[in-house]
Amino acid sequence: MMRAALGTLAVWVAAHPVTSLVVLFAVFPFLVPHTSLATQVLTYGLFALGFNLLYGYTGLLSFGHAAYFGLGAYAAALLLLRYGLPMELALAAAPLAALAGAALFGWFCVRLSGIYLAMLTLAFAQIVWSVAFQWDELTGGSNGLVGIWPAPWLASRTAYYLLTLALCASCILLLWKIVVSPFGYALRASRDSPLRAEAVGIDVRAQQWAGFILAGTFAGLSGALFAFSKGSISPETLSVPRSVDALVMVLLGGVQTLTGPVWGAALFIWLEDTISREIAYWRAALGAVILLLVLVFPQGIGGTLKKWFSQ
Amino acid sequence: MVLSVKNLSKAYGGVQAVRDVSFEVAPGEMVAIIGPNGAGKTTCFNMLNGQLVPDAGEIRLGDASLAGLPPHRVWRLGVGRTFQVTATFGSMSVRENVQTALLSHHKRNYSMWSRAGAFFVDDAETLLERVGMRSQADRPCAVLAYGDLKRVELAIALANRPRLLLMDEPTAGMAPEERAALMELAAALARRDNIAVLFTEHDMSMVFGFATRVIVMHLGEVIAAGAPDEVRADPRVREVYLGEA
Repeated sequence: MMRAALGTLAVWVAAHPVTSLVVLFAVFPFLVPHTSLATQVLTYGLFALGFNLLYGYTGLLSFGHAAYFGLGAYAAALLLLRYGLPMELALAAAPLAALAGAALFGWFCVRLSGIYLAMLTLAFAQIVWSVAFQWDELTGGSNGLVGIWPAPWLASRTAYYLLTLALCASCILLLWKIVVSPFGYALRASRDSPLRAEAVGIDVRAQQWAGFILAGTFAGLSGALFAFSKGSISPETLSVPRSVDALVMVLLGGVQTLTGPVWGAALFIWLEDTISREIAYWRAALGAVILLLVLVFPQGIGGTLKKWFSQ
Repeated sequence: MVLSVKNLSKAYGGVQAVRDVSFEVAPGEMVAIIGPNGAGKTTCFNMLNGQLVPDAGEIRLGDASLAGLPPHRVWRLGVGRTFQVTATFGSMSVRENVQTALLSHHKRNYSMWSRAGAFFVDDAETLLERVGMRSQADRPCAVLAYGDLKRVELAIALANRPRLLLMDEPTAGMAPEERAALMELAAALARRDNIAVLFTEHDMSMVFGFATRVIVMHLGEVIAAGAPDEVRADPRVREVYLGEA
């Protein structure tokens, strides 16, 4: 009886990945006492989703996606603190800064492929990081920026969580539409076979550039949401390990699955939170757990579940 | 003439891969380019297709000049292409492969608000019907037999109603009994829409069985061109290529 009910539920979840995700996150913060953790899961989930558009669907492996997360975070903070913009406007404008950065850097990146592409994305990310780290007058240098708080109506953790949920859910729906749209097919075509894609009139570089810019914009929004949820940012916000986190979340959740990256992000954040509180050498322990998970679920959680249910 | 090539040349470093090659292809013709390995056939093809920029010479498709245009623009002018090793979109179904080409043909590569799968279903099925792949439209391309993949590629290449179809080694890697079937299919489709076909081929029975005209290349140059029988009788061709055939 119990098993049958669980089975039915599992089939429903598999059939409605987006709806189940939204439902889960709508009740999530009321189940756990730790609302800020739930907000963190969502912001990283969005970051990982955007990264998956780039890596999973466009086929470009970037080691510098945190640069666009950071551009969004710093733009939000600077617009609020230095230019006195209302928080809502700062939040809306921040993704545009990431968009501009991704357009500039992406233009160069899509001219390379494989390891050279990865190296160039890393180099650009290091440039952005260096600017954040060294330009004391603007970015606060290694101390970063503090006092980045949301508007009063969003001051409670629950209100801010609901805003994050609304924005992330909209973005997930948007991404879901994009990957099944003609644009998404042209991206996948460019990934599957650049040779064939060009030979059916797809301008592969331009298509990949557009994918790069979109992914960067989503990262920018997640960065801005992150900044307002923490109240402070530092160069660590856009450091290289953060880029690797995105890759780990996507691999954990399942490449090329629509909602997989969000599940991956949830697992990653939860693991990090739990392990770092319980174990002294938590980084090593986290690494070991992730290694184990990747070995047990080579297609990620999403990919493995999909395989189980399709059998 | 659909295609006219004049004095085409290309060198890699010090090696002259293609030297002063000129030829023309008329609508409805099936022209084979043959020659030993390294004769410059594929280099020639890749210049026509836009993958390589020629050092010198002219490529005209009707009134348009193709030399130096990238492959995606060459396709828009009406050139379809199949590859020696089939290139299809492995993560998509057979129908989606053709739909993607059709979407591109209708300039929808940047449309984000509609569902790709809903577009051009009938057109895709018609194309698949023509190559005999309609019954497998829902199968992923990644699991198809090689011969079937070749036919899907042909359907993709025809999605933009090309004036010129380039086929690089169309029967390479296929079982001998499948080869004639594929060539017959390509010839029938070309006749149907009066498409000019230019192909390279190693299998001489395919060349002399299907080509209406043959161009022979050797060390980057055209050494003979004409009707299959003339070419077969040409002493120079026999010497460098056909051997004692």
